[in-house]
Amino acid sequence: MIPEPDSGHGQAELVAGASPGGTAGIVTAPGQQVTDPWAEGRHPPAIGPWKLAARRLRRNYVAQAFLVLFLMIVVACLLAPFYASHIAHIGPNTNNVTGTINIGGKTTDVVSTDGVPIGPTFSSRYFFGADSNGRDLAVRLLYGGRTSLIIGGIGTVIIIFFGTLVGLLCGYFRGVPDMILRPLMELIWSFPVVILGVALGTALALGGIGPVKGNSLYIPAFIIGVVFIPYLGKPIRGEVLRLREQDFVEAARVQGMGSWRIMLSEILPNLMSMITVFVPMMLAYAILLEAYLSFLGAGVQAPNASWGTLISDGLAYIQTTPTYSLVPGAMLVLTVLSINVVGDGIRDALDPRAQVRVRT
Amino acid sequence: MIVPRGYADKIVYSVNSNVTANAEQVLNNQADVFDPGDTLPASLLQQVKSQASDRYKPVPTNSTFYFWFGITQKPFNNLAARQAVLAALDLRALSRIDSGFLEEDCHLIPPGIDGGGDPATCPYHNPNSAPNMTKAKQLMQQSGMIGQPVTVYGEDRAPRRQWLDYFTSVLNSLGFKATEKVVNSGVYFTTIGAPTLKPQVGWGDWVQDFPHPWDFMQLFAGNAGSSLNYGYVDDPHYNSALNTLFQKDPKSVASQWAALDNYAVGKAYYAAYGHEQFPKFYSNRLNFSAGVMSVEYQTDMTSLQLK
Repeated sequence: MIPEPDSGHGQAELVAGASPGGTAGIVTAPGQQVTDPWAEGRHPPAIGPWKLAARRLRRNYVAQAFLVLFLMIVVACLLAPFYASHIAHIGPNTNNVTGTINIGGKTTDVVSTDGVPIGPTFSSRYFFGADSNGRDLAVRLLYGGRTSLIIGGIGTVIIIFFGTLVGLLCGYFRGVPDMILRPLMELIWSFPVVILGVALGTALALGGIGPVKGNSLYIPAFIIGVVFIPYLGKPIRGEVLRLREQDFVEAARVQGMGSWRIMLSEILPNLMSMITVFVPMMLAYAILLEAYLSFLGAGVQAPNASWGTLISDGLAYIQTTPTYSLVPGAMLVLTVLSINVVGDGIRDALDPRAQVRVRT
Repeated sequence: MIVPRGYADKIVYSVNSNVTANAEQVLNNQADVFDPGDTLPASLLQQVKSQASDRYKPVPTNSTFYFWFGITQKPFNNLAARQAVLAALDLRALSRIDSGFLEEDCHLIPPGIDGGGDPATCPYHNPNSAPNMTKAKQLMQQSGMIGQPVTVYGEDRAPRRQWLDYFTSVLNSLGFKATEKVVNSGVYFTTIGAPTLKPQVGWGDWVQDFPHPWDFMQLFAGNAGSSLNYGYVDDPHYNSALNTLFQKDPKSVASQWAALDNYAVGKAYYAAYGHEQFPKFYSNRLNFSAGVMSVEYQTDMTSLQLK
């Protein structure tokens, strides 16, 4: 029932979803004639679910703000080589222990003779200070962010691809694939993520995998991918088990479509909203796990920087130069927070149960 | 008159690889003795010097830190390549990374032992001044080893990890494609000494077992085995000189020991960079002057006394 407009004490605005047959009257001002968009000859434009989700997302200003923040962090990290060569004039792994810097007309050692590195200068060189090897922390922070984001991104791609594949195979074929893959997923799932990641990271950091050396960035990305596959694979499997019993799948079988074609053309599109919700969630988990592994020495290997290694390296200076650990820590928090908020916004936008909101 | 409470009845060892936490505990009198085998972190050094000057003293020891070269394989089977590294190495940088506790020197035999070399005789550059990068780059060109991949082994404990970072950075600046392999300090020497591994280059150290130059020079003897001679050096002249000099009173042949050390430095079998000063650092519960720092055993536990 549409509430009558209140003539003198505020106005109620009913905003409805585009479900056919639902009430869709919009009252915007007292006395304004109500136009029924469903009247004969009048058809409101059709809005698909993705467009509707995009519209909802556009109205979520908080998610948009954090999306902008995330994109700023990504762009800043991707511009790390530019910053290193044109602003700081030093690479991320270039040691400068006996170098000097001019601050306010005074020449200062980058690392003093008793080993104390310079603190934040807030200038183009050594903006956040130096570490004990004379390396520029601001440069390492940006390169570390690049590393963390790249590893998180590759790990997420592995999770999404193989998690979806495993879920599809288990859920659609059942039988032998399910008998083999499901216990494997349960086995990986049963290990605490960090402990499994550290164990794999420590083992693979020494010997690598095949042609991939132990200090390659692909090693932690691979580990993160493998560890989180069940976190997507299991929900996908459950959804596929439900979808395979639907009429449209039966119709496709009757038409003679092969199993793979049914999976890819009928079932997979119906999984896209679920996968879309999982992407930011998995990206956040992947970046966090990479930081844990690198902090513990089982992820990114020295001398390469990541936010985790920078936090670990800075612990020895937490009393004298807390920025050494706090700044990469803050970057990590902001990045994961922004991904989580954007992910929440995407989930809310895609949630089919969010049909009506009343705004007064 | 202060009557000491006597020697300790019980000594409790607490093993912790976090050197900063260990130093803080001694500074705050929550622990009594800082392990002199560790380096006082630079971030706490000023605080220790100002707040605990009566219970802290750096003590010179007979020890040497060095990088060894695997001379049976590329790229360090090439003399010019090894010499280039020695020319490019800034010993002052390595000392700063060690919070200034290193006495820079390119020789293996420490100054406190007969035959201990004079840093002024270091052939590539003065240890207390900037490295000779021009010579280093010339030697690299001569060697033909530019672009060679190198894996550098080192420990994870500070400042050894930082030394490893610095050394790797030097190799890359010379044109090698150097990467690091950081090994847990608890298994480092067994790892690099494994006969199956044959690493290309890595970090090492030696603290005097007994006050004789042979104790240090035997590390590169052909018959020393992979558990000491990580680079598999096997030089007939070196081996012969070592055997000959060992038979004699070290004081009477000190100059010959020094010459052998210089010979090995010229051959760049190792890139020694300094001799450590160990921190004698106690809590205020202990009688500082009574505690003995032995060059063999570091803290002499039998000498520790409560005030």
